[in-house]
Formats: sequence, structure tokens, C-alpha cells
Amino acid sequence: MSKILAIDDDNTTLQLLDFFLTKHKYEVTVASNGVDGIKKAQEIMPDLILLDVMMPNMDGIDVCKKLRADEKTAKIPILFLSALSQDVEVMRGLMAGSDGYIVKPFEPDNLLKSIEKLVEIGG
Amino acid sequence: MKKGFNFRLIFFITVVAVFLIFAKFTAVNPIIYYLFFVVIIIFGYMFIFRPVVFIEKMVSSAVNGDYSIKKDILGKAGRLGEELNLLFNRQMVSQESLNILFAASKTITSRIEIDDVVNMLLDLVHQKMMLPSTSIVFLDDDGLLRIKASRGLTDDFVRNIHLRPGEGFVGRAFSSKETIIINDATKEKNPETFKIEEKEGIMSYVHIPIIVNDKAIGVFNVNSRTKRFFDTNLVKTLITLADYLAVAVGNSKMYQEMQEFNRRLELEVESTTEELTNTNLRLISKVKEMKALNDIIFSATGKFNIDEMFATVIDKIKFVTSVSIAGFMIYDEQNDTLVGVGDFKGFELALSDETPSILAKSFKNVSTFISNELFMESSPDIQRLYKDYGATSMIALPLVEKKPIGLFVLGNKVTGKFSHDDLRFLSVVASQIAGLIDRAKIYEQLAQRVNDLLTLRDISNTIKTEPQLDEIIEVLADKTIRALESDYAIFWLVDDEGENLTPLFPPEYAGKDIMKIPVKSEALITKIFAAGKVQTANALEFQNEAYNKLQETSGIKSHLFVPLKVEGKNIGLFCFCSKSQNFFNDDKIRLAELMAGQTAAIVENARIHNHLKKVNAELERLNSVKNDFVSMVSHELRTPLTAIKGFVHVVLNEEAGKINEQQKKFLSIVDQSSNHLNHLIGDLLDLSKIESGLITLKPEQLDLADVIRKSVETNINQIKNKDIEFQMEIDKELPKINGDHSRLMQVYNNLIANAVKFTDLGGQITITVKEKGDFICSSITDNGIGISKEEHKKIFDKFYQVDSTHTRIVGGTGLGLFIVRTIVELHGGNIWLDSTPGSGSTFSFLLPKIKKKRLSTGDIPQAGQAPFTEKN
Repeated sequence: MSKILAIDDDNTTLQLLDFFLTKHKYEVTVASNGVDGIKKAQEIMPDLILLDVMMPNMDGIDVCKKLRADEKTAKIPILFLSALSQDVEVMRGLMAGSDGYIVKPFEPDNLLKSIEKLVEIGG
Repeated sequence: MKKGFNFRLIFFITVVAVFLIFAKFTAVNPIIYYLFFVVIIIFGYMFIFRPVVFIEKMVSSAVNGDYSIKKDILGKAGRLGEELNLLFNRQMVSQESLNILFAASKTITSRIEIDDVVNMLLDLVHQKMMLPSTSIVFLDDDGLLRIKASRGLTDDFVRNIHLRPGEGFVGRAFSSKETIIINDATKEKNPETFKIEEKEGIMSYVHIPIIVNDKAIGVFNVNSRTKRFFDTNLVKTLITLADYLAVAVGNSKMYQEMQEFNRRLELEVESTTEELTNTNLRLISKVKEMKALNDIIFSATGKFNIDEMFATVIDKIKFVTSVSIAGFMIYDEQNDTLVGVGDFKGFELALSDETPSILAKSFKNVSTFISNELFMESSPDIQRLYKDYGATSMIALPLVEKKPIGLFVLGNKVTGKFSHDDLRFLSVVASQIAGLIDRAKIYEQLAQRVNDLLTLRDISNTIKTEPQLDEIIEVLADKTIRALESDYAIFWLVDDEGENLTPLFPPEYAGKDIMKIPVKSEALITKIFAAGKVQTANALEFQNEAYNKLQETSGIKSHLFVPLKVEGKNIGLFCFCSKSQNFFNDDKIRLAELMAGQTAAIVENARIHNHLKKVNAELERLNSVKNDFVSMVSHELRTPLTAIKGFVHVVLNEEAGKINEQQKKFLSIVDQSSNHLNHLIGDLLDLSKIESGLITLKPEQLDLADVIRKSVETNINQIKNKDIEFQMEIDKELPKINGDHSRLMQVYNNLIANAVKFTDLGGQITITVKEKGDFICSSITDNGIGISKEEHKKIFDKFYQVDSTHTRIVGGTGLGLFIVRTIVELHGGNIWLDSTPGSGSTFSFLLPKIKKKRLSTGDIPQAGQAPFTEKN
């Protein structure tokens, strides 16, 4: 069973992801801020990280860069899940070293497809 | 004599023989016999013994070199005596001749004077040789041979002898250069000399030519009272003497020639020295002049400022030439006057004036005026120089460089006159000064230009940092006024609204309403502005009170108007003013135009820059606000929507347990509504971008068919849900376009979604894409409800909705078509609508094709490869 780490400061989103992805046979871990997210990523070494951008203290872009900078977590696929939809923002996300960018609100089916693709490659 | 002697001997012998015979045959008294014997002895002694003893004595003494025994004694010795005498004479002469020659050679070598030599020679011949007479004949200048000196000849004879060369023996000897020896004068009977010869008892003589350098110069004559006196040896001796004489004469001549030559040389040297001295003096003065000139020119060369140059030149001129007054009268084109510079400062001479003026004449005719008696000159200007400046002498030289530029005037007080040398020197100075003035003028112009350019550059530099239009205008005005030497200037610029001409310079009028002139007014200044041409004028009536007043109070007499133009557009007007009439000549106009051109560009740049800066600042502010807002909206609206959509999806898919049909139906509505809400948020974000001008394209080469297919795919559910008959008619070989992929998808999405929205169930939608000239035309046609004509244009406005009741049902933000239009237009295309209410609508838009570059390999289709195949 593939492990997914979801990092988001919005609890309802985390609940939705936890419920939805667990239903689709993923082992889901959640973190409600960037610092916690990085810590958990190092602990559990997930197969995929779902990452929000707009978070207090440490935003998703920084989290992404930190994860990529750490040799241990550098190769974990990262999929941004963000409400920011402008081109610049998407570009920023991709430039930070992520593997994908999905704009909220997302189509759950689209999300599943993307996750499957990334996990396959990573696995 | 000889005969006499022989006769005596014969007679004596006969007497003795007779006596002896007589005595033999007759008895003679012994006394008589003895007496006779005694007589015979006495006779014998007298006639035989004594001469023999004398001769013996003479010979023996002669052998000892003493010829002093008188030869007349020998005469008594009869013929033998004669012969002996001759012999002895010759012997004596030849003996003596050695001494003579020695003496002569000594004389000749020691004496230089030919007279001395001649006398010495004659004395030798006459005294030592004891020849009765001798003479030396020289050819005189008149071509006659005359006796130069003689011994033993009467004065009479000497006086009377003058022969032509070739005449007589002397003449012949002279001409033939041969020695002539006459052994018996009695035989020859030379007609000229015979009498004298006879009188003098000259029996033989010799004429020896005196030859100097192969040329006979005279004859050496030696006479003897003895016939055949001159034998070979003697003649040789005499010839030698003649040769000595010749040598002496030659030497003397040479000496004389040398002396003459020396004298000439001396004279020549003397004269040459004099000439050299003169030349030297001339050279020295020339060098001084040159140095002075050089001084003047050099001192002035360093001065590029004309006034400074004048001052230097005048100083130097005074120093070098010691004139007491020096200055220039420089021509002033504006006022047609000669203006005094230097010592004549303040002296002005109007050329148009009718009063006769020597200076004006000198300037006009380009002629030099020089006078050393100024008080004699009646013309008023000279009188003024005489009276006011105390000049007594004066010189005025025209300064010409291509054209007359003025006069160079110098004067002396009290003493001092101008010579031709002064005139020449000062003319040279004048010509040099003319060149210098011209050069200085050019330099000043150049310096001014350089200065202007530097200023302009400085201005450009300042603009990059702080483009304050007021400051720039002030600097520009300052510079241009100075460059044009105008007294005043007003810069008018059209204000941003293009309604008024507003003065920006001088500062005291800047922004004053009273100085504003409406562009459409009939004021003279607006007419000049509208004409857009450079104009000059001497006096103007402005329909502007303040301006007229200004003109009056400042005494402005001439104007120069230069329009400020940027790319053919009038943006303002420069007005330069001068207190002088006709001040603005072609040079100034040209300069003004040049500066106006640059100024206009600078002003416009500054304006644009200022404007841009303002806009930028505003945009930046708006941008940050908007960006924050957009991000906030995105985040704050979408985050809850994510939860709603996600959970609805989960519940709807029964992942959280079974739900009934009604629940399913309601949840579907929630799902659609949240979708709608999401679109709304997207549209609002786009709108905000468009409004703030932030929307930008990321163009790439793309295939429209590909974009359309993706858009259709996106809407496929709705199409299927409505059971719509969907058709695509896309040209097979559709050229690629330059466009933003996601934005164009947005366009097609929107138009397709709209078509679907307004088409009833089972309706028809057709997408047609065709090449149309330089564009690709896309049309989305439906057979829906259609739109009324008056709404065709409004439909692309923001927040416009065709039919509000219908809109409510199908949902819409009223932003979609506005965004579509914006995107199409951003791509350089346009969009329009053809529609008939009730029968459907066609939205068509054009997108420009990529312009093919000629001969660029990338764009040229190659065999077997379609350039624009559809991607699969």
C-alpha cells in the first residue's frame, strides 16, 4: 500500500483527502503545517506528497525546496494542490521542483489519476 | 784702319829697303847712316815695338780680366789692333755678360718695378758692356712702339721714335718675334734711324723682341760702334737679358695683375662685406619681424575666445612695433557697423551712414589706408581719430578671410611714421589675424556646439534619473539662449490635453494662467505654432496682454520662432527674443533648429518618461493590491469550494455510504453549482487581470486543431448530456499560429460551452476552422435561440447578459465573452457575431497566421512532409 503525505493548513481539505484517498487504498498521513510536513516526510518516507502552497509560517514552495534539498526526501514525488491558479503561481510551483500542480478545487477523479501516475513512476 | 796699318808697314819696310840699297850702292856719310839708323829705330819703336808691347800688355791684362786699357790705343796698332780691340771687346762683354746676367737676374728677382729693371738692364748694357747706346721699346696702348727707356741716346731721338709693329727693324723684330742683327749699319741705311746712327757712329746693332707669354711686348735694342760687334755669344747674352726683362715684365705684369686682382678682390670683399652686412641687417630685421609675427600669432593661437585673442594681439603688436594705438574695427553684420575693439573700444562706424569715411571705404574696398599726416585728412572719422585718440599717423589694413571681416587699425601719437616696411609687416600680421579671427569664430561655434551637445547629454543623463520637465526646460532654455546670444526666450509647450500652449519658461510665467493660450484661439502665437515653421520677425503684436507688455518693457526688437516637433507632431514653440533688429541670421536659425530638434525629443522623452513613471507607479500600486487581492480571493474562495466539491463527489459516488436518488439529484445540483461558482471565481480573476492590464500571453507555435480537440473533450460531457450533434470542419492543412495555448483553449471552451448552454436538447453545433488570407477563421455555430441584432456588439461587454431570465436557468457570469474578446484581441485578432433570434448564432473570430519568412529553411515545406500535420 502506497503512502501519501498530505500537507495543508486547511483541516477540512485534509479530512477530505484522508477520507477520499484512504477509500482508494492509500495509506494517508496528514500534516497541518510545513515544518510538521517536512518532519513527517523524513519519518515515514511517503511515496507521494500532496502539498498546499498558501500556508502560514512556511509556505509550500519553501517546503518543496527543503524536501528537494534533503538527500533523503529529494526523490519523493511532490504534487502541489493549491488554490492559486495564475500562470506565475503555477510556474513558481513547478520551478520549485515539484512534479505536478493541481488547482483547487480539484476534480477528485483527476487527482486520483495524477496520483496513480506519479506513484507508479516513483514505485 | 787696317789698310792704314798695312800701308804703314809696307812703307816702313820699303823706306828701310831703299835706304839699305842706297847705302850699299853709295857711300853714305856714316853720320847720316847712323842718323838714319836711329830714325829707323825710333820708327821701329814707334810703329812696331810699342804697339806690340801694348798689345802684349793688353792681352796679358785682358787675360787677367782687366779690359780697362783703352782700346783707342789699339787703334794705333793698326788692323791687328782693331781686331784685337774687337776681340777684347767681345771678350770683355762676354766676360762682363756673366756678371751682367748675374746682376740682372738678381735685379730682376729682387726688383718688382719694371722701370727699375729696365734701368738696371740698360745701365748694365751701357756702363758695364760699354756699348754706346741701348734702348727698350714697348708697345704703347695706342698700338705704337715707343722708347720706354734708353742710354746713350739723345732725348730728341727718343722723343721722335715711334714705330708701328712691323715697321722698320724694330717693328719687324716685334712682329716676327725674331731677333734681328744688323752687322753693318752703313749697308742697311734704315731710313728712320740712319741719320742718328750715322751721327752716333753706330756701326752695328741688334733688336731683340721681348716676349712675354708668347706675345711680343717690346723690343730691346743694343747698338755698337763697331761693325759686326754682335757675335752669337753676345746676342745670346742679350737675348738672355731680354728674356730676363721679359720675365721681369711678366712678373711685373703678373704682380700688377695680382695686385689688380687683389685690389679687385679687396674691393669685391669690401663690397660683398657691405652687402653681407646689409643682407644680415635685413635678415635680422626679417627674423625680428618673423619672431614678432610668430609672437603675435602664437600668443593669439592659444586664445580661442575672440575677445581674448584681440587683447593678446593688440598687446603684442604694441610691444613689437612700438605703435601707441592699436585695435580693430570688426564688422557687425546685424547692424551694418564697424565696431571698435582694443584701443578703439566704443568707436562705432555705421556703414550705411552717408558721411564720408575713410575707414568705411577702406573696409568696403578692401584697401589699405596709410597716412603719416592725419591732420591733413578731412574725413570725420579720421579727424576723430586725430582729435580723440591723438593719432598723428595711422594705418588701416583690411582683414579678409573669405570675405571682409574688419579692419586692423594702428596709429602713432606725436612721433613715429609708418614706412613701407611697417606696411608690409603689418599686412602680413593682418592677414594672419584675419585667419585667426575666422578660426576663433569657428572654434567658438564648435565649442558652443560641443557645449550644447554636452549639455544635451547631461540632460539626457539627468532624465534617466530624475526627469523633471521644469528643470530640463530651464537648463535647455539657459543653454539655448546663451548659444543663440538672444536676450530672452519663452518656451511654449502644448499641455497634456492638447488644448493650451503653456509657457514653461521663463519660470516666472511657468504655469501662469494668464500666459496660457488656447491652441484654437486666433492669437498670433497659435498661428505660428500651427504653421509649424521656423519664422523670424522684427516686431509682433501678440493677442496676449502679458506678452505685449513684456515685449514693450524689455525692448525686444526681433524674434525667432522655432517649432518643437516630435515625429512630425507639434509639441511646442520656442520663441527667442533679441533687443537688436534682424538679430537672427541663418547661422542662428540653423543652430536654433538643431537645438529645437534635440530639445523637442528630450522634452517629449521627459514627458513620456514622466507619464510612464506616473502610470508605472500607479500600476505598481494597483498591481500589488490586485495581486494580493487575486491571491486572497483564489485562496479564500477556492479552499472551501475544494472541500465542498470533494465531499459532494465522495458522497455522490457513494463512497461514504448509499444515498437515495433524490439525495443524488440534489447533490448533483450542489456539484454543478460549485462548478459554476468555481468558473465564476476564475472569470473574476481573469477580469481583474484584464482590467489591471496584467493579462499577458505566453505565445508559442501551436496547432489550432489540437487546441480545439482538447476544448471539445473538456465539454464532451455537457455535449453528450444534451445529446447535441457536434461537427468539426477543420482544414486539413491548417497553418500554425503563434498563440497562448491555455488562453486559446479558454476561448474555445467558453464559446463551445456557450453554444451548448444556449442550444436545446438534440441541437446542432458546428466548429469550422478555415484559412482566410493572413488569418485563420474559427466559427462556432449553433441552432439555438439566437441573439437580437442590437445586442451583437454589447454581448462582448463585461457583465452583459443576453436574456436575464434565460441566464438564470443556464447560469453564467456575464464575463465569458468579454474575456474571450480580450484574449482574441490580445492575439491580434477580432471576434464578431452573426445571429438571428430563433434560428441560432455564429461566433467567428480571426487569429493571425505566422508570417512566413522567405528562404528560411524552417518554414519551407519539404517533399513528403506536410508542414502542418495534425498531432495524434
